[in-house]
Amino acid sequence: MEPQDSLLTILGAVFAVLAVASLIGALLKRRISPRAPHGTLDNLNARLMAWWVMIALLALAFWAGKPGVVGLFAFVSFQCLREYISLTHTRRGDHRALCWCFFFFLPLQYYLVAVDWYGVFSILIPVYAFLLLPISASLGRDTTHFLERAAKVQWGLMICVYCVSHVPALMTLAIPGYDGRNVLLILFLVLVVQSSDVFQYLWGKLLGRHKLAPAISPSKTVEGLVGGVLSSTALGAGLWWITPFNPWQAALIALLTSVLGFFGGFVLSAIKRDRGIKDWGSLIEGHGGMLDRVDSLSFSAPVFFHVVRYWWTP
Amino acid sequence: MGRYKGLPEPVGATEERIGVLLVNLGTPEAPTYGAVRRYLAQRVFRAVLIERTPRPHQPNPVDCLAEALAAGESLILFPEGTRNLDDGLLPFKSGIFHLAKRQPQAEFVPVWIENLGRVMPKGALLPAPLLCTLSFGPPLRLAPEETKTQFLARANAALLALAPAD
Repeated sequence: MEPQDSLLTILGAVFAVLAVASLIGALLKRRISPRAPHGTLDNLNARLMAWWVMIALLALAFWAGKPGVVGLFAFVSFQCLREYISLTHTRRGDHRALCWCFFFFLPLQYYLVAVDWYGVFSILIPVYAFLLLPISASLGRDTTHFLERAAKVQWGLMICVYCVSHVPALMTLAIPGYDGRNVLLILFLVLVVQSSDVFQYLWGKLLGRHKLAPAISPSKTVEGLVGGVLSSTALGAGLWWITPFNPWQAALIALLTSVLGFFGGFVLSAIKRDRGIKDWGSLIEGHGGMLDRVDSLSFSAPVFFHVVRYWWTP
Repeated sequence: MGRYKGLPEPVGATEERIGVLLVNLGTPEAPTYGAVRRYLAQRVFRAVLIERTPRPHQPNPVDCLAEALAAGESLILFPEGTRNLDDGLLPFKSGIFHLAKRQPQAEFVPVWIENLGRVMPKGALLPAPLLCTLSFGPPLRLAPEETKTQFLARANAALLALAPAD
């Protein structure tokens, strides 16, 4: 199949699933609670509505090609970093370091993806931002909680920019026999990771009995985790034909990315708990903020990228 | 009235903010604050122009504010009167009390703006694109027998009650 055909097939299937889900959501709402608000159902329908928009944006970016994908994820990073820094305690002395993050390191990281300069892309934030940001903060002459503040800014940049930028970086991998299809790798990763979140939510709502870690995330259950990870692993295996992997490789990689994605959400939940908040923001109705939606992607993208780069590129 | 770290905060106009921004604007001694600032102040923010330190023949700042209120306008005041460089709240300037005295029917709505001081601290050239959160409290009115100290303390407490827990 031509790459465009595969893309259209998969996106068509996703939209079909969304249409069915939206229909069920609307029917349930009409059956159970036509007028009065209903917490779970209204949230479900809001989430579904947001999925339409998110998948449409992703499809639009794919259609625009590499610049579209790089632009979309640069925006995702920007929004995540805003949410993260807004809810993290930094002080006036960090202002210059924050401006460097938003106006220098973020655009430069995505520029490096766009021009395919892997050598600098892979060390810009872990090495150069790591050294330059504390220098900038120290010039703010405020030593209160200095180490803590420097660590928070670096951590935000890693999670929101460095890790997320590995999604569009999949476009730069030269895989023999897979020319012009790299966008399908992104589709594979996004579908596996995001479907894992959705499957965890569904299995948790249907069968969830045993809370996994109420201190960190009250909604996560053992049943949800196992069901979600297994379902998305099966989905990943079923999508092997759009990837350079064979079915069992696709299953293993889907398993790995789902588990990492789960822990991405888990770790960021721990931070939210510590800060006393439920969501990172309110950008996406029903889901919370951008960072609530891509926390799992952030943890799985770099590992997925390196697995493919190590074993599938010469 | 409101407060945020960095810039002073809303209801009413801060003496400082309005003063700095506006007095310089209109005066021929400060031609550097050219057309853009004048446009922003007069057309965008619709600021009330007051003198920071009025000479005897010049209008009293509180009169200017009371006049605007009497005309049915709402005002945004920054009762700390300056940019707050630290956490917490500075003692309020007495302007809001005198204004309340002149217009006892006026309601003062406390507004806490979280994060604004981090967006643009004093001396910064670029704003950091952070998200700001506005918290509104119930409106205050000057009680008949209330003294200046009491009213300012009550207003200060009403604003602090909107501050996030940490």
